[in-house]
Amino acid sequence: MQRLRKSRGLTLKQVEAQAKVSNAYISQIERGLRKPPHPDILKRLAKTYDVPHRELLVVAGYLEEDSETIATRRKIEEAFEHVKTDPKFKQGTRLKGTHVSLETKRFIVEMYEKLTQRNLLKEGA
Amino acid sequence: MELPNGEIDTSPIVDFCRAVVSRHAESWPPKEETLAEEFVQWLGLKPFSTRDQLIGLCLTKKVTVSFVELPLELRGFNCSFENRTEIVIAQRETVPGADLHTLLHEFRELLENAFVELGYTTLGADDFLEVQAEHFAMSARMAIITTEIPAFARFVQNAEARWARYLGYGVLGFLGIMYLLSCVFMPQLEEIESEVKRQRYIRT
Repeated sequence: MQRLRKSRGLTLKQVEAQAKVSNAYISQIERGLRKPPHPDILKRLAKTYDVPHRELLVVAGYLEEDSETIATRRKIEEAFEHVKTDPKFKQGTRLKGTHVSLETKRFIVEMYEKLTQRNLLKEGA
Repeated sequence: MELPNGEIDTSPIVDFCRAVVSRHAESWPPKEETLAEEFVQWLGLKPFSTRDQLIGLCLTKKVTVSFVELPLELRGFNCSFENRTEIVIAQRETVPGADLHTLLHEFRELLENAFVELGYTTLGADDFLEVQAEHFAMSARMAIITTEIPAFARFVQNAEARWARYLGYGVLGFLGIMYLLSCVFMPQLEEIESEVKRQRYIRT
């Protein structure tokens, strides 16, 4: 949670103002001193951090990712690692913040596939 | 660069970088502003170009540019493989001039790849390409307008009525200052714009 907040360039006070959740409480959640917050609070935090509500529910343990989602995530992560280490493929981005979402990784892998005529996501890296 | 079929790649970007190296080899690396000015001249960038004009201009340098839906945090992306080079820019409407800023940022990263290939990196141990690319984009946008200012001024000077000339200079000065401010503060303007959008999203 802390990494997510910092990647958005937000301070605890800013999150408090936007999500209407006390900054002391957020700090305690980030340090693992509190149980996962109520799904309603997670919904407000998801809007503030601009991530899908479902993603935070999974992290908090309210929902379980199905095996297909886990497999897709792993496939994209592996393919992205392959793309980053291919010396023939040069790439760069202009990002808002420092967080690289799974969606962005998928986009980069798809661009790699387009240029190299390979199909990493189907055939595996 | 040698291609798999044995041909030698004649990438215009590499050619440009080679020319820059030959001009500045003795005092390497050149200032970011100098590099930006030379780049603007090379690409033939004009102020207030439309997206289609930018796409056409880049195609003359064998760079394919497209505007597509991108993930929220991604403003632009560049990649190259063998003889193909692509730049992708977020389609969503943002601050005026942001498209050009992102395009220039992506070009600076492509230029650095070429400089590295030629054995002339422009980055020192403490430099970050992201930061240099932002500086380059800002400098290049400034260079675009400064090369056009004399033409605008001549146009105003030719007005017959004195009041029209004064008004023209006033408008020209105001627009010039606004443009230069947008060059310098583009990343901040983009942040403000995305913050406003996020606040609107949170409220709904």
